[in-house]
Amino acid sequence: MKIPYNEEIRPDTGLYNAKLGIWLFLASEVMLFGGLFSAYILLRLTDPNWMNYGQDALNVPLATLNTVVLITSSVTMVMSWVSLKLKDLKKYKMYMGATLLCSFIFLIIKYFEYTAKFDHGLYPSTNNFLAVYFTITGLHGLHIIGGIAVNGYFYGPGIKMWDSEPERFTNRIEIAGLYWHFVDLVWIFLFPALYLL
Amino acid sequence: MSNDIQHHINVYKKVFIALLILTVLTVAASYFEFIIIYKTSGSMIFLSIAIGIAIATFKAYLVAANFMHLNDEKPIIYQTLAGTVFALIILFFMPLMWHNDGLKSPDNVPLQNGNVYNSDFESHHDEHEGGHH
Repeated sequence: MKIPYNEEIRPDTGLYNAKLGIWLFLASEVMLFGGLFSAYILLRLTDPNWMNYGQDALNVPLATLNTVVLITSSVTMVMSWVSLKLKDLKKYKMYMGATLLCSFIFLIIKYFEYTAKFDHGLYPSTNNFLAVYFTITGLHGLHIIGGIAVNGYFYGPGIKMWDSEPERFTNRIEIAGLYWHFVDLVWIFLFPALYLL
Repeated sequence: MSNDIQHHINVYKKVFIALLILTVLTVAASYFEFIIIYKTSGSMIFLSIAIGIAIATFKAYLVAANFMHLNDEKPIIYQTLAGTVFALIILFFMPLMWHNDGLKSPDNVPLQNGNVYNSDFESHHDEHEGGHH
């Protein structure tokens, strides 16, 4: 039996089902990260020792590089979807490969940042700022890993669907892209909130 | 259709460049100006935070409107997101209300330096800071 509204538009929503599905999921993600941001605001406003937690010791150049890496991955992600719209599978593979590469670079840079903190004896339990920093960037890092799993599948075995249902596959990439742009969007707020302000 | 897509590609390129410029701008601003403000005047902290968040919000808008195609989406998605934004605003105002004692701050919270936070600590702390309530 064929699952309805994978490709064709559902009349009442004007969308294929997965599109509404991913936006509902992203809405819940906004609240998940929003809760942590809210906790950050609360701690920062009420903790009289905040200035002594060494927030300015974070590695801004590395984080700036990571911001550029993630923005680039967002562009390559949307370009991989555009390539499928243009029925160019070769370009799709190139752009999706670049997206995956950027994702791994982001994690490697994050790994260096984390280990530098651990080497200095700085852990989530050290103080309120580091607790917030490790919790939010850790959760964000898990989202990157989740994105790699999904995008890796569509780069590897999942690409078979292009031969049988090209339009459905294109939609899958659009959905994966919406998730990936959201992960980028969270970082756009995380970067100034944790590193610069 | 093909022309339409070419137009999209051009927009993506421009957005990419704009995002890079805004990233550099955020970092440069925080280096050259805000760190000085941060360390010299407590009341200016909120201005520097507001500017930083404003740039981030504009970057987020560029991503959401163009890469996520929110500039041309169906009403049901806007409705979903309107509900989300409403809930998010409440979430963000909760700590602000707490800070202004709209909600009562808890007493006897252990601090990292071994002291215990309570309302006495706050009034004592305020005397030193000149009081900002």
